[in-house]
Order: sequence, then C-alpha cells, then structure tokens
Amino acid sequence: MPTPTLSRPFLSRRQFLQMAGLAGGLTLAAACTPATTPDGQAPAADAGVPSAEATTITMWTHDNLYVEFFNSRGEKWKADHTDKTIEFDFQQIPYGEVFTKVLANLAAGSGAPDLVGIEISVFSRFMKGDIADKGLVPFNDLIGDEKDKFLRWDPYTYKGNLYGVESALCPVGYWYQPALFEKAGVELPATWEEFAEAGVKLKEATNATLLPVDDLGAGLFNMLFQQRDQHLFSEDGALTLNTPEAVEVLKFILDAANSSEVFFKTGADSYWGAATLTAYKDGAIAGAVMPDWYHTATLAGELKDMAGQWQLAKMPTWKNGSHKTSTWGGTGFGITKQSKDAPLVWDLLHYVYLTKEGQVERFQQIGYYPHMIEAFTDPGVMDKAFEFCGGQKIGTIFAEVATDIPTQFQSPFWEEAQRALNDQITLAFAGDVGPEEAIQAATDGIKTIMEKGA
Amino acid sequence: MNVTVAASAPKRSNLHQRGSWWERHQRTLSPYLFIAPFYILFFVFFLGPVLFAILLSFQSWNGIDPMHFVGLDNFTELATDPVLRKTLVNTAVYSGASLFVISPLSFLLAVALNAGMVRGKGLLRTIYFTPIVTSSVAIAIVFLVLYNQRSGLFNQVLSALGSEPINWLGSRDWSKVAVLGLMTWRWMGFNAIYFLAGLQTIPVSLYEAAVVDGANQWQSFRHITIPMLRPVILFVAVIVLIGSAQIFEEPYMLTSGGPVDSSLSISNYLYRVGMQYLRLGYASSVGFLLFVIIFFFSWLQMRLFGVFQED
Repeated sequence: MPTPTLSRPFLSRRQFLQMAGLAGGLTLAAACTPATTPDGQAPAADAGVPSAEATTITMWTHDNLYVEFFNSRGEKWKADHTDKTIEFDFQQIPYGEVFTKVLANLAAGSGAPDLVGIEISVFSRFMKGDIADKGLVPFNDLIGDEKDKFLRWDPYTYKGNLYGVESALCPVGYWYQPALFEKAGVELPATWEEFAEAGVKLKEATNATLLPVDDLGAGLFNMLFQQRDQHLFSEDGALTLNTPEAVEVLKFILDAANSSEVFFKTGADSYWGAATLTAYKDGAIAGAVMPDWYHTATLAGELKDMAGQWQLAKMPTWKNGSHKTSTWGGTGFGITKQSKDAPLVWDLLHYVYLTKEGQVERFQQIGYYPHMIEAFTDPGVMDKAFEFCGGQKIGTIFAEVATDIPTQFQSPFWEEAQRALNDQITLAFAGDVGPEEAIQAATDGIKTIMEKGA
Repeated sequence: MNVTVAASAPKRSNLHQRGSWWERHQRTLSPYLFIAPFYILFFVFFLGPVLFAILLSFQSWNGIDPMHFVGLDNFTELATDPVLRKTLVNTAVYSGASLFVISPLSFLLAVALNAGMVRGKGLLRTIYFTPIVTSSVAIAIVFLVLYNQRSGLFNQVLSALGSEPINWLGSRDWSKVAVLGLMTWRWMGFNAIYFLAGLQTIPVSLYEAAVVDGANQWQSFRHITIPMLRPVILFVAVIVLIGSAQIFEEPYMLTSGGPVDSSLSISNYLYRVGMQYLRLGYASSVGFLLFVIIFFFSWLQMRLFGVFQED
C-alpha cells in the first residue's frame, strides 16, 4: 500500500494543474469577452452600479490648440449635462503617429478614441476602400439642414457622406511687416503681377524678399493654384492637375524665386524652421502668404518679440480669374464607430464646433477663423484685436474674402499625389525641369499611382 | 529501506500504466511543457507574423477591408518600381558606408581607447553609449540645427575655411551624406565598444612574445590584433549590415527620405507604402525583398570570413 507521502505529490500536482488550467481558462475567457454587447452598445449597468458612473470621452489630435479649446469649451458643455458624470481624455499625439494609431486601432476593432482630428492631407488614408464607412460615423443625418450654415464640408466628404467637422476655415492672407514696405515706399499691390514688381522695389530698398517659398514642396503652389479656381482632383475624384493655369502658377513662382529672387527659398527649413523665422526677424523676409493658423502657430507663437510689428492684408489676386483668397490646411474632427456613445460625443462636437458661440470663441481663443457663415460678421469676430498684429482686427480682413474661399475636393490618392507634386516642384526649383515638364511629369506619376488602385 | 523502495517501484509503474492520461504521459510531456513558453512566444510573436507577412505579400489589403488575392502582382511591381530602385541604391550606400567607413572608424577608435596611456575607459565607454539612449527627437532637433544651410555649425565652419555653404538637407547630392553623418555619430562609439571588448580579451603575453621576436607595432597589429579579433569583426560586420540595411530613424528624422527620395531607405519606403498608402500587401513584398537581401549578404559575409569552413 503506498504511503501517503508517496501518493501526495501526484495528487497535488494534478490538482495544481487542474486549478491552474481552470484559472488560465477563466482568464482567457474573460480576456476574450467583448467589452460591449454585439450591437455595439455598452453593457447594461447592473442594478448595484451607481447610475452616475463616469463616461469618458476620448480624443486624439496632432495639434495641442485643439486639445486646449476642446477642454475649455467642453467644460461649459458639461454644465448642461449635470445628469451625467463626464470626463475628458483629450490627447495630443505627434503628427507622424496619430493617424497610423487610429487606423491600427480601427483595424484591431478596439482602442480607437471617440473623437479624432484628421488633418486634411491625410484624410485620403481614410478614403481607401471602405475604411471611412467602417470606421467613422457619417454626419449627414446628424447635421441635417444645418449643413448649409457652414463652408468646408468637401474636404471630409467621401461617397456622399460627411465624416469630419472642420476646425478652421483656413483663409489665406498676406501677413507682412509694414515698416519694411514703408521704408521702401512701396504700397501693397492688389494683383500677383503687381506684387512681383513691388517685390523688386522692396528688395532694392531694403534687401527684403516678399515671402518664403518652400522649394522642396507644393505649399505655395497649391494655394495659388486653388485661388485660380483650379483643383488637383475634381469633385468626382478625377485628376485635374494638368491645366494651363497650373503651368502659369508654377512659372510665376519659379520666376519670383529663381529669377527676380523676390521670394525667399526656405529649403529644408520650410515655412516654420529656425532659419525662416530668423529671416523674418532679420528683415530678410517681409511677409508670408499664409492661412489663419500660420499666424497663431508660427508668427505669434514663435516670434513673440515681434509683436506689434506685423499686419494682415488680403492676399493678391490674379488678373485673369481669381478667388479673393485661397486655403491651406485644416483638420476635420470625426467620431469613430468604436465610440460607445456616439450621440453624446456628437452633442459635444456640435457644441464646441458647430454653434456660433463655439465658432466665435475658437477665433477669440486660438485665432482659427470660423467656417460658419453667419459668424464671419459677428462682433466677437470682427472686433477681436490681435496683439501680434498691433491690435489689428484681422476678422475684418478675412470677412471681406471668406465667402469666396475655394473649396478642396478630396481623393483617396491625395497624399500620394502631393508627394509626386512635391518631387516635381523640387526638380523645377533646382532647374532640372521646366514648369510644363514638371506638371506633366507629376500628372503622369499620379496617374500611375492611381492605376494601381487604392 | 531498500526493501520498501524495491517493493514500491512496481506499484508506481503500475500506477503509471493504469492511472490517468496525465499520469501515464507526464514524463514524456514534461520537458516539452518546460520549453513551451519560448515556443509559444516564438510562434505568436515571430513565426506567426512572418508567415502572415508572407501570406500578405500575395494579397491586396488596406488593413480593414477584406483581402484580395493578387498572385505575384506585388512581386512583379517590385521589379518595375522606380522608387524602390532608388531606395535600394540609397540603402546600399548606407550599408556600404557603415561597413567600410563607420566600422573601420569604430575599430580605430577602439584601438586608440585600448592604448595603455588612455585612462577612464569605463567613462569613455559610457560616453560612447550615450547616443544610443538619447531621444530620437532631441537628436533630430540638434542635427537639424547643425545641418542648417544658413546658420548651421557645419556651414559656419565651411565658411570660416572659405568654402561655399552646403545645402545638406535640401540637396539630392548631399542628403545621404547628411544621414551618414548622423549615423556615424550615433553608431561609431557603440560599435567601438564591441571592438574594445574584443581587444581587451587578447592576452598581453602574445604582444610581449612578439616584441621579444623583434616585431614592430604594425606587425603586432597585423599578425596578432587582427586575427585575434576576427570573430568580433565578423560579429560587428554582420550586425552593422543588418542594422544599416534596415535603417529607418536617421533618414526619417532628418529628411523624411527627401528631397525627391534621394535619402529614402528601404525601411522608410516600406513604412510609407504600408502605413501611409495603406498598401500592406505590397509593403509585405518589400519587406520580403529586404529579408532576402539581408539574408544573402549576411551569408556572404560569413562565407567570406570562413565561418562555414571546418578547422
């Protein structure tokens, strides 16, 4: 008969394995249990759980100004929802990571935030296949008739569905240093053609150039091209780059940068690098044709000691057909389908971005111009004085041109197209290709990419 | 006592034969259970993704929509992709410079550090390790300033020497050089630590014997240091090749692969195609190509160093 001491190890190990297996199995089962019910709703609260359980609304964006504004405006929104305990988890994530993380979490089926700020030039990633449809909540029914009160739906529209609420109209103006123009005795001209001529006089008198141009990118080209009512892609997604206007605009920029040298080539510094900022301070660059956000983020943000020395003027226009302004940039805020309470999140987004008060407050707080038409002439926008511009009410300048802003049509290939265009414009600046060849080569390159499919 | 053991042995044997399934098989299975954690992790986190990537290279997939089988289309595209060709050349330059410039510099640095007169080797080793643990963002900011065309330190020095400033980051001719400069700063000291460790294992008695035999310093270096360091040299050469062929951070931080893809590495392109253009199938085929290239050159290196030859 086996002694107890001999038989116990067998039994205890067996018991141990059984218990470990049971514990592991339960853990695995718990891990595999979805956090929500199959219909996507949060599990019903147990009778014993307090009804005031906190709801956390999460947001990811690349721009900290959005985080600040959502937090401040969101606190006011909370005051209207005292029946619920709502918390915010709004995070700034670096530009190079945030969209990849969102897409990865959408693919994984969990982990995406409720709200996501999608920068306009990467919205095309969400237009591949049916990603937008599967990942983002369409706003068509939610916005209803209110849609007509706002501009800028096109950049976040795909297959007829609206997926993003714009965060700024992004109208372009000429931000400049009046002292340099006064010193040269040069008046700000109204047209681009006159502008280039004025640049020669300015340079002779002060050695200052008119504006920076990134000779490794298509930023300025895009603004001037769109101002001529031209588009990289048409509303139905067809490539419409190769036009006489595209060649004309590129030739104009190249002449001003390479021949008369009245535009300042930034190289790798682009519009926000240290050398470009130093050139503003040193008087080597007298101004910048840029949108509203450039004033907040770069000029007023990085050149604080130049406060009061800058002004805003309307951007020059083209003699042969032109919008009064142009546009660059923007960020559309969308709601992911992983959001557990999309109606509540929409209510927040609507309060922050789609009310007149929100639009005015945003302009006053972070200087991002409203995209709600009736807010253009609101006293809160028109009377807001900006210290960096010497107390100038820049809302009055933008109000004159805002309704004439060109739209921007999207394509699933927008990002790829921009890269092809950047490359050809770089070669054109280097003198390796002429403007016609550059536009033709960019068109051919984009077509090749489009043929591969999204 | 002996009697008890002898009497109980057949009973245990019977238990094994008649007991539960686990009791009958535990002796056979236990070793496998002990090594199971490694294999589970290996299959889940290495082999599984590798097999999935191979499967993916025959598909068209954006990560969210269903996959579509495209046969060899992705591999056919590899042969005709002009950007990929550029990245192959760029990566070859990075790898070549890493092997034939940065590694020899590391070796010379290690030899200098190993000289008897140098004090504080531990401190120097720590200093040379610093670039590896420094934040990539901080490195990028510093090097962007250093390389600035108008106000960067490098161009200031060139100006002081009467030379024209160089457009380090905005020129297709210089962008790779700029990336290599950062690579040198980042990896030269780190690789020198390997060489230094190898140098310190060479018995001093060999050098003493060589001196007695009348060898000069170059002969000692040529006939003692180099042969004794051969395993370390091979090791460094292989890890440098693998690391430089997969280089991602340096071009991404400094130039984003530009201008006009002049500094784009294969890994940068893989990321662009996969994570930005969401062509995960094609990105997998690029990854597969990268694997084949690294495998081939690593094998070639080992063959050249005679790793596969029997003594």
